[in-house]
Amino acid sequence: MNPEGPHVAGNEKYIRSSVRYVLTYVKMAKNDQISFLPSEWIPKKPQFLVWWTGTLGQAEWLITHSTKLRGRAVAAKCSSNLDGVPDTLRPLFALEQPDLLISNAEGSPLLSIEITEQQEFGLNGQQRMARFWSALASGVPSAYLLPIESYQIEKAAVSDRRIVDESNISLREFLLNAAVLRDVNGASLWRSGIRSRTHLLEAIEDGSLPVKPKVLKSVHRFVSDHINRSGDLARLPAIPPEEYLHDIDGTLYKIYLRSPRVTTSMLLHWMRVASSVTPTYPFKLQSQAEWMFRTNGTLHTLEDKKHPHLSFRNLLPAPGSSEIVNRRTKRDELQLFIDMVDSVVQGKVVPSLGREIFTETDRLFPKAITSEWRSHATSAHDVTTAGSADLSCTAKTLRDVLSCLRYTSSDRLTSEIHSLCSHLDEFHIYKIRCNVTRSLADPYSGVLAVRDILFCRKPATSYLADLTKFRRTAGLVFYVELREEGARAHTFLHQALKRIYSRLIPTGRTADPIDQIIELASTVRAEQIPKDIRSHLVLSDLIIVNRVEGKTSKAEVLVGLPHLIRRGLVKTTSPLVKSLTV
Amino acid sequence: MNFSEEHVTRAMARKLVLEGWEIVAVHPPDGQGPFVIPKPPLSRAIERASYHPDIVALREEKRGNSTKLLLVECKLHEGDLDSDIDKLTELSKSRQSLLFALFRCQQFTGGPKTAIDYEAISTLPTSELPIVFAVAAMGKTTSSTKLSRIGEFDCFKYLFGGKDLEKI
Repeated sequence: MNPEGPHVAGNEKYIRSSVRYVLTYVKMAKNDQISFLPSEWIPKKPQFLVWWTGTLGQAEWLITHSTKLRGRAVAAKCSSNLDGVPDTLRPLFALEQPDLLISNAEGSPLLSIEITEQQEFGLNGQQRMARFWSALASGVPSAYLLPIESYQIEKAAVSDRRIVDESNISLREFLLNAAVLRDVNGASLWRSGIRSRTHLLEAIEDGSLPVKPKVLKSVHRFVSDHINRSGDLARLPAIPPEEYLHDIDGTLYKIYLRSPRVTTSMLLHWMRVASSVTPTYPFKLQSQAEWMFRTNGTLHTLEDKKHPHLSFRNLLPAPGSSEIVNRRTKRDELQLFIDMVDSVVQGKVVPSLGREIFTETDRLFPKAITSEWRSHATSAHDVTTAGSADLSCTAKTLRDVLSCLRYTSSDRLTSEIHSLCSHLDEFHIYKIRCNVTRSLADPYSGVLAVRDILFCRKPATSYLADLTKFRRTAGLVFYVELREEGARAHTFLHQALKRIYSRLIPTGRTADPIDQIIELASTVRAEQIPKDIRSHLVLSDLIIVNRVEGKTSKAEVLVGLPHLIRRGLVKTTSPLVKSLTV
Repeated sequence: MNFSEEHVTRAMARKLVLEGWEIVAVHPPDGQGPFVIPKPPLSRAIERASYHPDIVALREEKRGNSTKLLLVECKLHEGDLDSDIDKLTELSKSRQSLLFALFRCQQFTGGPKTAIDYEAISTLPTSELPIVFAVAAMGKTTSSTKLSRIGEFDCFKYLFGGKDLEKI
């Protein structure tokens, strides 16, 4: 990548406006903007800007630790309404806003960065993936710094209380040892004659543990990864058994090692697939057992004597100060991340940096994990009775699902659905069943972005090179089943669309939801559409909202932008589609 | 020069280090807080409603051979501290939240050197728990004063003049 701005080559207007903007920004920065960087590091004519939406500290951490940015870059605050952000950068913020975005002074985006310290629970890890989708759509590299695994403290289960209450001290100690290994039943093993930690570990090692083969394999793996800590990938140390359970004022808590699961495997595989086109790299924020009680193991820069301006800002540790995760690379994750930053900033090809280790078979995940990503629905019944689920199905099954639902269809909608099901043989249905009145923005924007790449496109460069043409091999369906209060009060989708249409296009007269989408696409940019429906319309071929109250139900069905683009009803030159890419 | 709450937080952390406190965690404005204290009642196993103190610090007290936990809330303007004092007052009334904060700083094999002997303190009456509160803001001049107690605990107010904030 050329940092001089290949993305805007030929677009002199953008370049001139961006340069003007940057010069204005720098002038403003001197007068009004807050910076903790040493004054000698703030360039008079910056070559790069680090746009931030999270905290200023993150931007200044990055500038400090990248020798290619230090003295050449300034931090630029990005307001939530994107005021002041050059047009050339807005596509990176079109669906969601990344924590950090590095651009050059001409306004070309260079690297989109996301940082989260929170370990994944449910889908929150995928929540941010729409930001990477935007980067991928524009051919801009991205980096995701996340724990992947970490320590967690939460209320213990009733079965854990039985361990604490056990009066036989030897048995209690044994049960604690078994509990931290997970997957095995300590009481059962005790009854089988295994009575000590040593005996337990020996039985795991020699394969004589009296458990099912699948469990034995899993626990053997756990011991190898978290107790012996062998192999190329540094996993976190297991919780010491004596620290597993704690009574806090009568409430029993457990501290445990939370390992990555299905949703994290999807996220990491997504990044691997995306990297076949544009470097899209995960970096593991390596926790440390010493801090498991205080910060769930997360490391921070507290006092930095070398760079005092980074002290006491809850920032990531300095590169080179954490345990090496990929032992093949001999560099810690933050050093590798800075290597990526420096490569991008210099316009060099970004090396793989050992990122493939996170998706190698039987490394973080068993080979069979991909079979847990979704199940195949062979009938409409499979779909309509499923709770929240990922389902694949044929076009015929999708038609059958629609015929089961009670919704008002116009000739127009019927025709579009017919067209959709005629052109695509397969569909991926992402279904949620909920009783909520809150916005359906998070985490579903990211969740849909994940499914677009993983399930709806061939893993071939041609399918990923031009994302906004939505050349899909399978259609994407967002299926919302709203229950009870949610069914009564939630305005997703027609009502919300109507409200947004009226607000964004006050002169608009159409009452047809499909025409409302088409008119919005030809009038507004993606980021102008509220998050409540934005990514859903942009990424879904079909949206189904089924409201269920007691035994009655009523549905809404609407085709989304990908289908309308493929049909030629929304042009790829329309403001909305153009706003998705640089 | 413009100042932000982050200036106050950082000035306070630096001041505490000079006073012999060890900083455990800092929670910047708009950032993610690493030191989470669940609020009672806990309705779910996953922590949701919670306190995220701006600064958490520990200090070994020479007198009494004990370790104290300091929880600090910061604001840019002194006039905005009332809401922080209310927040700390609410926290001070929850024995379980206070014990949870102390638990997070407990001694254990392989853990940090400065730490709370949780087993020893967990049986103490709430009024004797080794906890101190503080609030901090920008002021005309730099000063520290002892406020009336928050619940059963001492509370201090730190103000930082512009010159001291500039040094950060």
